[in-house]
Amino acid sequence: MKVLIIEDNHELAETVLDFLKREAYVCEHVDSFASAQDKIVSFPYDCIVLDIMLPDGNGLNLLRFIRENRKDTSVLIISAKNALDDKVAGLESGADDYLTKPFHLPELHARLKALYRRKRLGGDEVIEFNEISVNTSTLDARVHGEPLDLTRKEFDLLVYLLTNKNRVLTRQSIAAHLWGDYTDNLANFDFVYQHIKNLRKKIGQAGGKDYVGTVYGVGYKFNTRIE
Amino acid sequence: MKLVQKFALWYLGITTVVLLAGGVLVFRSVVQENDEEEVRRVRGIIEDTVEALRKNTPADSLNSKFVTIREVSFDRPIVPLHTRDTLGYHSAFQGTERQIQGTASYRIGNKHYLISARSFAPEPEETIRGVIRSLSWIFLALLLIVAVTSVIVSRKILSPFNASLRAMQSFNLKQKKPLVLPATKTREFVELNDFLTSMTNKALRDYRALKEFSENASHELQTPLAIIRGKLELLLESDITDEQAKLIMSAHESVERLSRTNNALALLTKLENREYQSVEPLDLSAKLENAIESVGELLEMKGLLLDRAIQPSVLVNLHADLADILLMNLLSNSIRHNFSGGKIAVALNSKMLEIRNTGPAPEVPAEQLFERFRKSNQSGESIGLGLAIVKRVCEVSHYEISYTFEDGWHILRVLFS
Repeated sequence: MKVLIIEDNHELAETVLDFLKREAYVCEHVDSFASAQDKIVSFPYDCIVLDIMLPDGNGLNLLRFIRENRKDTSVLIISAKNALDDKVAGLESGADDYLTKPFHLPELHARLKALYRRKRLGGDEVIEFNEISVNTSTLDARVHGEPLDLTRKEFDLLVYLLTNKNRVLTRQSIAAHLWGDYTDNLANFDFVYQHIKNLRKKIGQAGGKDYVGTVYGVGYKFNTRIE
Repeated sequence: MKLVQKFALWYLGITTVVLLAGGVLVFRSVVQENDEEEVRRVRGIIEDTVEALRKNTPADSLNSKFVTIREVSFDRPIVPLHTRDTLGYHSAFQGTERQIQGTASYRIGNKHYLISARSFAPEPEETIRGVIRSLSWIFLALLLIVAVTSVIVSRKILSPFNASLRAMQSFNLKQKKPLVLPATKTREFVELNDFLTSMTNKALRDYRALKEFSENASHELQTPLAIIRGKLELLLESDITDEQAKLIMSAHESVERLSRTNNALALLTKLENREYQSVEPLDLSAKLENAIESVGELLEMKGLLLDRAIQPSVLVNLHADLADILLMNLLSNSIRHNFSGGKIAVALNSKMLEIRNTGPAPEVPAEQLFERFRKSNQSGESIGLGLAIVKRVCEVSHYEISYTFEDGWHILRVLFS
């Protein structure tokens, strides 16, 4: 996956680059309107992460520029503004998703992956890992070919874990992923624990290995390297 | 009381005083003038009589109702002409009337006559009555003229003032439009309008600056927060000990909290700026059902029993986002401050929304619960802004919110009105 990050804050861009590097994506970073235009015209990208507030021009204009030149590139807006108007304006101008700062890095990654699956892989959106296979368009999860009976939240959790394999996922980031904007009020990590527990149980019952490990005091991790 | 009415009353009050004083003066001078006139006439009669006597007209023939001539001893000293008020019988009026009498003695030839002449004068009471009557008419006429002209004149003179007043009343900081006042030539109104214009312009500028500041402050915090959070998440993935993980997590949690507080304060600022205006009636029943559904699994996990009495299609004038915020805050409060295995009762009708839940008794007085950063139990997850936000949402929507704790139930009521 080729990703272009358009963000004027170098520290933040570097943090995102650091995180995505491990996924063997090709990531590039530009910090201004003008250099972003150069890159967009010159190279095709699968995904563009766009900070809507740039020092030398409105991100929304850049968004229109992307839409005119690269129709098949997914655009994920990141903005410090939580304002609904901005969100609506962004999505109407052709953005595919919108994330407000401060975001969790695994969340950004999950969103990018979801956009990539939707645009690149067409209808067949299947994530496979060893005995586990998940179809994100039909919401069908299987272990050894046997369907798992998962709730919507458990399904989302499984996809989130599979997207961020071998990464430490904090309880906060899982809660934010599952409950979205309302985690502010509902963040009770017992709920996260409960979902993880159920998911592990269901995978185990279907004969799958216990990939989901607890990182003590921090959160959870999908370990690919277990025996 | 209207300004013009005040003016008219004052004017009439002053007129009354002036008329009363004027009445006294008029009365005095009328009486004085009359008396002087009568005195002149009495003198005239006496002088005519003396003239006649000198022409040897017999004294007897000159006696009349008004003149009495008496012959006195020649040696008596001469009485100079003097006048005085007396009462005399008036045959035409059949009663005594006030009269002026003048007396003098003259030596004519070898005779000495004492001549007195009388003339009836009007009674002061009659004069008073006349003065009062005419002043009353003047007063009535004034009253009528003041009443009519004050309406007309005030409409004309005060029209720029009234227009300014109306413009001020419809002025709204939120609309960000400068105040436009009608032109006028009256100096006071020009000064007033100048003052109003400069004041509202300043208010607009300050409002804009404050709004920008609070927006910027909130936005400027988000990027550093995103960086801190990202770096901590990267750090978590490096090779670290449990001890270090704990430290990182505690920093991570504080960032989380900071970010949530920042968001909540930004929302409160927006509410304070009244940025949410409802455009069309909202089906609160549907919103409520959705909200309950979205917390369904949380209810299940905490083993809470939710009882609902929701009237269908309750319409309210509320911005959809505010409705979500209000409902989610209230519901999550009723879940968070509950016993496991407790109960929640949600009721909605066209008059009010009521959410009751079981839970431990509050530790702070009910009225303080709506204050910012006020928490009943200092549970780490809550940032203590939920109810403050709920209260602001109710305030900008002109709803009334109340909280009571009865028989182990927390009861939150929102009255629509």
